[in-house]
Amino acid sequence: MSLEKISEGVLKGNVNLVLEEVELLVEKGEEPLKIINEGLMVGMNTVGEKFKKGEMFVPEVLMSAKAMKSGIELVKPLINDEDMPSIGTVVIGTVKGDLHDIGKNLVGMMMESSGFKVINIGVDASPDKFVEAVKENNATILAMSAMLTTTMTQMKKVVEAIKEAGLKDNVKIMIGGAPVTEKFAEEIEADLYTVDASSAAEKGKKLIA
Amino acid sequence: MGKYEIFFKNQNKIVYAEKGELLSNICERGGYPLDLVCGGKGTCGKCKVIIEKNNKKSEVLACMEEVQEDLSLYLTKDDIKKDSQILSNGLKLDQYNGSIHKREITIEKNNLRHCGNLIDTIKIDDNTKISLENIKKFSELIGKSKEIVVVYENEEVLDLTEKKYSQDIYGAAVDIGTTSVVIFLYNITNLKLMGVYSTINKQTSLGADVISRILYAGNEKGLQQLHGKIIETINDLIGEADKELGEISDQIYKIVLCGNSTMQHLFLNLNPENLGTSPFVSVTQDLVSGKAADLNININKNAKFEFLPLLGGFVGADTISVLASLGNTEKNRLVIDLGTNGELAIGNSNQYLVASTACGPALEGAGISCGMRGTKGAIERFKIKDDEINIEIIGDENPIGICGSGIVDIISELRDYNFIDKTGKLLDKEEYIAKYGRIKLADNVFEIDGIKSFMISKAKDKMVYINQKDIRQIQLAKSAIVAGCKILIKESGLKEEEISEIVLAGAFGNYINIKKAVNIGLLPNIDALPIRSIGNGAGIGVQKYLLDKNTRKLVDKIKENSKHIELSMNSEFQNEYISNMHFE
Repeated sequence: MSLEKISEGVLKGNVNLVLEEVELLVEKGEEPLKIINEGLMVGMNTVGEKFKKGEMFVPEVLMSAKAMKSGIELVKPLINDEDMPSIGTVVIGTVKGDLHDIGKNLVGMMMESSGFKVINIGVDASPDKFVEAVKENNATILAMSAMLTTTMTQMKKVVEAIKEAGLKDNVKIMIGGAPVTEKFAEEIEADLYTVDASSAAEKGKKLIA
Repeated sequence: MGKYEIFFKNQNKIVYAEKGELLSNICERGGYPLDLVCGGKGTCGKCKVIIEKNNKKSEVLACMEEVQEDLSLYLTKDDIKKDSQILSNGLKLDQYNGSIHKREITIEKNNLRHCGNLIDTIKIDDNTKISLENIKKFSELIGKSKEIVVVYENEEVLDLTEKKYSQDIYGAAVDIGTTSVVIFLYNITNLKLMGVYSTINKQTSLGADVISRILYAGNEKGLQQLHGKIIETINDLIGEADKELGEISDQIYKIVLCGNSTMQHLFLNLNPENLGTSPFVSVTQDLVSGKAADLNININKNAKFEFLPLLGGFVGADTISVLASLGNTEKNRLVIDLGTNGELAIGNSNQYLVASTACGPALEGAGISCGMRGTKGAIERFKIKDDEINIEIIGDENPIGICGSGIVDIISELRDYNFIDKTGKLLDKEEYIAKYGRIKLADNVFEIDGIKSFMISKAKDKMVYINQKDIRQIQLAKSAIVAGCKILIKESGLKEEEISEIVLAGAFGNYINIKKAVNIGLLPNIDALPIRSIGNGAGIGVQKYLLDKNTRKLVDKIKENSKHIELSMNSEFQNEYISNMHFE
């Protein structure tokens, strides 16, 4: 029974282990926030590093994310809403014409486990949908994904729509996906390109720091 | 002639260039097309070449480099795209039943009916259509000769000639692949396959895959260029046949073609833009026919062309051709066509469910650190025996990379020897020895740029290896295929025992070791279900279409009764996709 065990449970994607350990620690009177920050998130950070190097893969990362989430659900009722750690709100989606879901979801999960509040607006999302979601949630980051060279051009339209709505100074724009490059990010005036889900979480944090 | 002189040092050739012209264009114009895998966007690095200007050598990306002065170019053999091993197998039919045919007609002026209608002598029935041009030709011919040869497509008169010499008629069946184009040329008169001609699709220099070509078509004049390239490719092959068989192109009266949805659009000069993004709409999915001359195909000016219909989305005329090649059948089959894109079908001629699955280019060696196409120097077979690596290399040269079949072998063997675990993780040396004991091959695991890798071969300082990220690419590809198959089986409502076999079409299917492909989960493992590779199924189907009218009826039937399933919208597909990423 320890914070290390909780991290281990997250790393192994073992929901039961996480639940058991979190319950035991809560009973023992451990700070709920400490369980999140020093147990669950520590585990997820290791997952992120391993994913980056290819040592862990999509199915394992999803299991880990699930384990982490189940842990958070358990301690959430014990924390006042305003005390829930949130370093910013991310609106994330795949651009119009593109139906790729999994990569974008991975980024969302990684950002969530880094302490962001994540609003996932799904796939095939129009520029208007992005703008509305950013407004509605007062988002600090807009993250978008495109997996096809043919849909990547939609990203520019989203940036333009954000400008038009007068939100460009309020929200940072992150992009990613197989055909996307750093150069392309510069071209369309996006603030950040990252190559994978864990660097998205990592660099996303720095972006708003 | 342009201003600047580009000197191809190794080829001893000079090509002149305009200011600002891209180096990759110049190479292509000079007859040395480069492998622009990313379509010339400067991202793939495949067109890296060494140039020299002002006595200084440097390495540049040919697709990004604009010419501003005279320069020398050091182009090696490996920089230039080379002919790949392309599948081309012919097919013989005993009984010809195609749409073009000829008749030799003798006009006996003595036997003419009083006030008769001369043209009746060449009509097949009341439906026979004859153009004014051909009527004129007929009137000229009967003045000269009493024996004429008439060529028909069904009941329509295509051409008439004087019977002077043996007038054979020819037909061509074409399989337009994203990467390669094959023509099967038949002499219809004696039913002989006269030749199989194949080459790289010239569009490749403007983009390796369908998506980069769709994107290229959006450029100014991009569509015209791509359209021109495929017509040029076909005409080149016909020219080759002319050379070999002696100017027969004017006797080709029919050309039938198949290809994926993008190839069809580009061949017909239709904008493929909507194929590139969801909801993946085609301009037309119907069978398109017309005069070959309208597309500038260099065969008889009255010849007809037909492009087989598409089945929807990315599932094109190549797939319908594969399905037609299986004949009119009630047997249920699962058909997997592995090419640049993965197409799947399940069912029988009365109803097929079809889908396309994005298996990525990894199986063709692209996007893999030491990956390459199946050309000289590629490792195509890999086996571990007695703690030693055995490899086979195409062309028996020093290994310079790994092609698709080699990659499948490597993953399968490394998994069997536990270097790769169930999740796809490559074990490092210490971990391996701790778990499985010391073996010599454990020394082959090393790190390059912080990524775990396994050394496959090291010859003449050329390292060939596979790394952790490559394994992940294959996991994505194999999962996309198997997950797609599982969804199709489920949607079809067929029980596994109701499926008679799995049919593997496409070049890749011919080269891979099927057992190993099943072992790594690239092909579904269904109890006792035989897997058969038919090679270039699209090529077989399109030949049958040329030679047999019943195949045309079958194509109509399949087109009418097939249903396309969009996998990316299917939530169960997403689940299957994730749960099939692991190895068994």
